[in-house]
Amino acid sequence: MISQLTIIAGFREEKSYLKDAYFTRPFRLANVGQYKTDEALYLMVMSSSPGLLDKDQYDISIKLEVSTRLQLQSQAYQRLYNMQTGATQKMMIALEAGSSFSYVPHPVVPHQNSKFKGHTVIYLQQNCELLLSEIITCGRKHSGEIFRFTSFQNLTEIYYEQKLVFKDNVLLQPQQAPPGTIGQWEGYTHQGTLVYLNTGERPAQVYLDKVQQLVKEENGVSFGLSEMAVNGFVLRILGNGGEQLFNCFKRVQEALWPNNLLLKANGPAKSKAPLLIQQV
Amino acid sequence: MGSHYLSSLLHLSDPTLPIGGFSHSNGLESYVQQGTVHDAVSADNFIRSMLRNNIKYNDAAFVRLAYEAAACQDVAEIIQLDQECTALKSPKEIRQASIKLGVRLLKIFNRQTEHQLVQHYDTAIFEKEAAGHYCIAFGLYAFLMDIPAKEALLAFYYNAAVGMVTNCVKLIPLGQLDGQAILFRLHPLLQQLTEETLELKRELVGVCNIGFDIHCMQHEHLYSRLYMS
Repeated sequence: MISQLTIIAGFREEKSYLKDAYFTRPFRLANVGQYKTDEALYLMVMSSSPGLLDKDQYDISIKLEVSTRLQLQSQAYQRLYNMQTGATQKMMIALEAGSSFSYVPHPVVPHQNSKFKGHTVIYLQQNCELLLSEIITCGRKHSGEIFRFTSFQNLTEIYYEQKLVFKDNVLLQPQQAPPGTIGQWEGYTHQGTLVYLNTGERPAQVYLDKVQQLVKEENGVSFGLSEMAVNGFVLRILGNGGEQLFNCFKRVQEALWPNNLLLKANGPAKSKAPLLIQQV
Repeated sequence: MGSHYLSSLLHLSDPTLPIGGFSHSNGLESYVQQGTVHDAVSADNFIRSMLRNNIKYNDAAFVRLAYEAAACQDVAEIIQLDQECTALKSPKEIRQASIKLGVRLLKIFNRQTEHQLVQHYDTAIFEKEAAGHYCIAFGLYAFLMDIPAKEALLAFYYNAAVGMVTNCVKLIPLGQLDGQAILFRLHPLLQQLTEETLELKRELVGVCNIGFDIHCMQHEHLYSRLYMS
């Protein structure tokens, strides 16, 4: 089944709002913003299906107009069921100048014999902020279904003004390349990647120590955090529980969301003032 | 006799070329400090996984792509491949290592030879359009010095293997003969991977190795470090 979801977030009177939405089964969309004073838009993608079935094709397109802030949320774990042909997902996210998009979806659970191929492309313009993550599990671990899926591939590409600035090509074929091997999952059963990128002026570097400290508190994980060639960072983590990694990424998201760098970057008088005081 | 290129190839892939290859462990130092790589067997596993799961899909694949782009005189493609390399190498030290090695390789060969393609690439690096990755520069020169793609790739793999063996001998440490024994046993794999790289599908280029990436990132925070990556 081909399923479509289109979201256009707009900005008027100092507030982000859902300008247009279009979706077909099984998608649904709910506005989950909690505070009237919050100028950002919070949307939850809901689904009447527990996951992707054979031959499913998800086609998702999200557009953020100038100055919009959108936090997208998922409703539950994304299951990939037993398949012959395989399922696909295409996601296109376009951020216009000055907008920010943050999305920490629930973990993906590839069941036995599932085959998935995803492609996410993100286009950024000036003064944009992006936080995006992905968590993949070994399957239904507690039923003993560990790495029984056929293949999982997800390609993520981020462009800043037409130039490719980040690419992540995740390919998992447990039968062909054992996940326990050194350099791969190394005995862990869950993997996660979180990317933060800012095309504004203020360096994302200020967040590195904070994120490092946050993730350090997790027990039983192995993680790495590193600066990108552009203004941003990549967090990669291996662990043994979906809930743990998801909550960890949520905490990182919360730490980065309220003190939006862009708002501060837009007010140069504010950000430069402390520097001047120091110089005097 | 079709080996007129042999001396050029030996020169290009010489592990002792002064480009700084031996100051980078590519995450091995983290593994050794954590005790995961600690003897000849675990060193052998590390090197094999690195070659088979990482280098084949990443650096070696880019050597081939850069070689092919050079054969088509396609400067724009070379620059795009270089940008793709930067976008794919998410651990900072690995990205910087690749650029350091590449820029030095270009410097050495640029003084002695003159090729329009390299000049365009150099200009792109100067203008910060491109970074100057080692694998791209290697592929470029391999073509320009009339080295067949297959031989260039085999030499690239051999160079990578020697680098890792030398690092294992120094870091773990292993005996010189143990290191050489590992290298001897790797020859069939290097041949096999060369063939596979020539056949590799474009969509598989850049496949991520999360465990390696994490250890390369962790290297930034090691208390004491002998290597730059």
